[in-house]
Amino acid sequence: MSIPYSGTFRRSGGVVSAIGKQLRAVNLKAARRITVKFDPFSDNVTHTRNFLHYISSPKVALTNPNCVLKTEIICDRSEPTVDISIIPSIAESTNLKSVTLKSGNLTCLEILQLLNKHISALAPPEQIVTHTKLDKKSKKK
Amino acid sequence: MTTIHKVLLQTPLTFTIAKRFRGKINIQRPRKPHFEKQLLIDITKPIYIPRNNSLPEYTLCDFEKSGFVKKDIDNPFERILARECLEWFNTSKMIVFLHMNSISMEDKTPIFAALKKNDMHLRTYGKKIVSMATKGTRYENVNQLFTSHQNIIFGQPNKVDKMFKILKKTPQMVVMAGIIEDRMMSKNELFEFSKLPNLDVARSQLCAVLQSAGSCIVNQLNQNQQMLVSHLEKHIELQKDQDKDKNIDS
Repeated sequence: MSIPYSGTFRRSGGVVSAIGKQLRAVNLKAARRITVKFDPFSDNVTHTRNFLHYISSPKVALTNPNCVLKTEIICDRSEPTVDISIIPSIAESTNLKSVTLKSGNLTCLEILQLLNKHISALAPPEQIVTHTKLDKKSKKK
Repeated sequence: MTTIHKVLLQTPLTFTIAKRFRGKINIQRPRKPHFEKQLLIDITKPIYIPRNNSLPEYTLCDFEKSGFVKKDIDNPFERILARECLEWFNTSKMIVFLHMNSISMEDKTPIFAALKKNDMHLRTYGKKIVSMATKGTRYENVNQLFTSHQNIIFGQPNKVDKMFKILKKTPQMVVMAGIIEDRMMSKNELFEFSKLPNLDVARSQLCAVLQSAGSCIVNQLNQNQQMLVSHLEKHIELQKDQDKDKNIDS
């Protein structure tokens, strides 16, 4: 007697590949400035620091060269936060000035998911520039 | 081909060799085998392990094989690295812990070189090594910092301001905390320490402050006499001027 197959057909690659997937989806075009604050001696800072390490990679920075990433070390035992201020043009249309993530109890994957949900979703769509033959001819002239 | 046959001995096919001819076989008094034959017998002796159904169940547990239990294997190289790390901790008066963001070796090398020129050493040690090195020593609290990517700078306290200057140009390296002269400091305290003047200058300032009390009293005591002297001088000058005017008039 054979039982029909039940369960997943595809296995997940684990946390690491999930983080990689989120990182590939990150688009910082809507962000003007990202400030990561943490107290190095706290216990719940590991994921924030890992998030900071991933977000500071050149590939992510390429999505928006104008976005500044700032790290602040605080000494007053406060919770780690990630504060992202949004560029004025998008802030006007969506009434959102900044997005603050309190990452004390969040894992790295969750921080990235939230970032993608709130910031990458606001990114303006890319305008595909198509060169017509007339343009090329006028350029040659 | 034929020459090889002449030089080498041709052995006949050995699939069938005559062992005995009609004689009785010797079972009851076997002769001792040759040393090499005995070796072969001993090596190829089969090992029969006890059957699983004969063993008690607690011996059959294979939880350790399942990988849920992590075994710490003693690695002598790790011990050597831990010793080296502890030596660095003990010999350098200034230790600064940095958080490392994503940085390429291309960008890191000029920083390394600039620090080296100022007699500071940028080193990387992993969490396990540092925990091995600092276990039981007074540096045990440092392990809390080693949760993500980090580097350590070992140097002397007089170079703190230069270090901050070099690290200002790299946003990827973030100063978290430091140990100066066996005292753990936060980033803000380190920054204030870098702003402090040289030790000799600080000592001279202290001397000036200590001396100021005595010199203040001396000044106050002499004040009245000095005022009197200055008034008298002015008075003399005024009189001289008046005399001159009188002489000119007459």
